[in-house]
Amino acid sequence: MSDLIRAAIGLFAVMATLGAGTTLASLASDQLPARRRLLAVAALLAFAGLAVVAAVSSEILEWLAVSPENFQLAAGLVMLPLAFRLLWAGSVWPPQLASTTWRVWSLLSGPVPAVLVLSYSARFGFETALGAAAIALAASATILLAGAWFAGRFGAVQEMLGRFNGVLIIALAIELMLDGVQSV
Amino acid sequence: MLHRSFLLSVAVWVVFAGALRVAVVPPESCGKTGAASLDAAAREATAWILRNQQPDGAYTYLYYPDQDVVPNDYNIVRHAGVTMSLYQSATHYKDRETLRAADSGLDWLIRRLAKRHGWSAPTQNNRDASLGAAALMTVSLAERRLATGDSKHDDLMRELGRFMVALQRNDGNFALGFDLGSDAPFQGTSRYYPGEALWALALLHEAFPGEGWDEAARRDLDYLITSRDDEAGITFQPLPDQWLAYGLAEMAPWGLDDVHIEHARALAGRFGLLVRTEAQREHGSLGRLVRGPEARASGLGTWTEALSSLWRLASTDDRFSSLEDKVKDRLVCSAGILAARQVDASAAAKSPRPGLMQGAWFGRGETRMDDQQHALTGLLYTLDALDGDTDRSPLAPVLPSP
Repeated sequence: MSDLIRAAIGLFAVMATLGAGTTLASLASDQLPARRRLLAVAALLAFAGLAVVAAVSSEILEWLAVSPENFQLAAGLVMLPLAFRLLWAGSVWPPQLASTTWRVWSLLSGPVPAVLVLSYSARFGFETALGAAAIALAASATILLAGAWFAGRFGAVQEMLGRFNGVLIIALAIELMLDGVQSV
Repeated sequence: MLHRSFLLSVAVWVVFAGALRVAVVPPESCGKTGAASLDAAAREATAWILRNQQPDGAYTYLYYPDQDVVPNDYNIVRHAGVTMSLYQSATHYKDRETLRAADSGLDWLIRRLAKRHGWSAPTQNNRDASLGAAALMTVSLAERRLATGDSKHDDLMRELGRFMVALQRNDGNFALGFDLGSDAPFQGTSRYYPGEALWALALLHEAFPGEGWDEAARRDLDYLITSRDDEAGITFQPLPDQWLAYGLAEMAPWGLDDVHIEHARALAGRFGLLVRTEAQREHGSLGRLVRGPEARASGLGTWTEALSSLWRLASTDDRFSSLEDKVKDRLVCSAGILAARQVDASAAAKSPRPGLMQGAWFGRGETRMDDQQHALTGLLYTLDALDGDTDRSPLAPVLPSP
C-alpha cells in the first residue's frame, strides 16, 4: 500500500464520517442547500487548517522537542478515545448535538485529524500528507453531502458502520504506534 | 448547553494532551552534539584509561566515588575490550602514547595465554578461557595490525581464530568457553559472545583472506539472525547486540542476504528507540521520572557503536541506504548525550581523586572501565560519521610499527 493511500485511509477514518450517522440524518432532514454550502465551506476551511499543520509539522515537533517517531506513539493514543466512542455507541456523538455546525467542522479538522496529519507529514512528507488530507476530505464531504441518500440507504446499519469505523481507527492507531516503536 | 459541551470537550482534550506530554512524549535532548564536544569527550576518555593504567598493563576496573574505593575486581573480557578501544583511539588520533598503552594491555593478555590443541586463548584464572576474551583480543590484534602494518602477531591471531572455531557448534553458535581443567568446551552458551566472535572472524578473514575464516563467520551470522534471539528467550526482539551490527557492517562488502538486511533494519529500530528514550531522560527530571534512571555509559556507548556500524552499512548497501540519515541523526544524538554526561575537569576537581573522575562516566554510584571503553569507541566512530568517513579502519598504516 502506498504511503498516500495509507495516510488517506487514516485521515478518512479519523474524520469518522461513517460514524456520523446522526449528523447524516439531520443533514437529510432540512435546509439541504444551506447545509451543502456549509459543508463545502467547512471542508475548505478544514483543508486549509490541515495544510497549515502539515506545513509546519517539523517546526511544531521541534518546538515540542519530540522526535517524529515518538510523536507517532502519542498520535496513536490520541486516536483511541474516538475509536472507543465509535465502538461503544456506534456514533461520534449523541443525536441532540449532531446538527451543530461547529461539530460538522470538527469532524473534518478536529484535534484527531490535526494530530494525525502532523504525524503523517513528519513520517511521509508534506506533499503526501497534503494529498491524503485532500482525498480524505473529499471522501468525507461527499458522504456528508450525500447525507440524505446515505441515511436512507444505510440508516438501518448506521451503528454497524460506526463500529466498523472504530475498528478501522484502532487498527490504524496500532500500526502507527508499532511503526513508531520499530522506526529508527 | 452547546457552550458548556464545547468547553467540556476542550477541557478534556487539554487534560488528555497534558497526560500524553508527561507520560508518552516528554521532551527530548541530545546533549552536546557538536564535533568539538565529541572530540574532547573522546580525548578525555582515552586520557582516563591511560592515566589509570597499572604498570603491568592492567586497567583500573572499578571506582566507587562516594566511598573513594577502588575494589579489587577484574574481568578479562572487559580488559580485551578496553585494549581494543585504545587501539582504535591510537589509530584515530595517530597517537603513539596511546599505542604504547594498548600494547601494554595486549602484553597483559599475552602473558595469560593458554595454549592447547593448536590454539591459544587468554585466561584470567588458568581454569577457563572464554570465547569473548579471545574474540576481543583478536579484534585488538586486528586493529593493531591495521594501524601499524606490523605482522608480528599474525600467528597469534590465527591461534585465537582456531580457538573460536574449535568452540563453534554445527548450528553456528559457540560454547561460551573452554574448561582448561577437564580439557573440554563448556556446555553453556552466551548471548553476546557469538556476536563478538562474528566481528573477530570477519576481521580475521579480512586480514588473511582465503584461509576459511569467512565460512565460520557466515555460519555464526546465520545463527545470530535466524536462531539466537529465540534460543536466548528474547521476548522483545531483536536483542540489541552491537557486536552483530559490527559484523554486519564488516561483512557488507562480502554480500549480505535480504534476511540480514531485514535484521539490520530491525536492529536500527531497536537502537533508535533506545536512544530516543534516553534523549527523554537527558532532557531533565520529567524524562527521568517517567522513563527511569539514566542508562550507564557502557550501555549508551554500545548503542552508539551499533548505530555507527549501521550507518556504515547504510552507506554500503543500497537496500539499507534509505535509513542512512536517520541512523546518523540517532548516532549523533547518542554520542551527544555521552558527551554531556562525562565528568569534566571542574567537576572532577571537587573530588578527592580527580584523576579517577575526569573523563569518566558514572552510573549507579560507580564507573567501570567498560563505561569508558564503549563510550570512547562510540564517540570515535561518531566523529568518523560526522567526517563522512565510511571506512572503519585505516586504509594504510597510520602509526609506525613499535
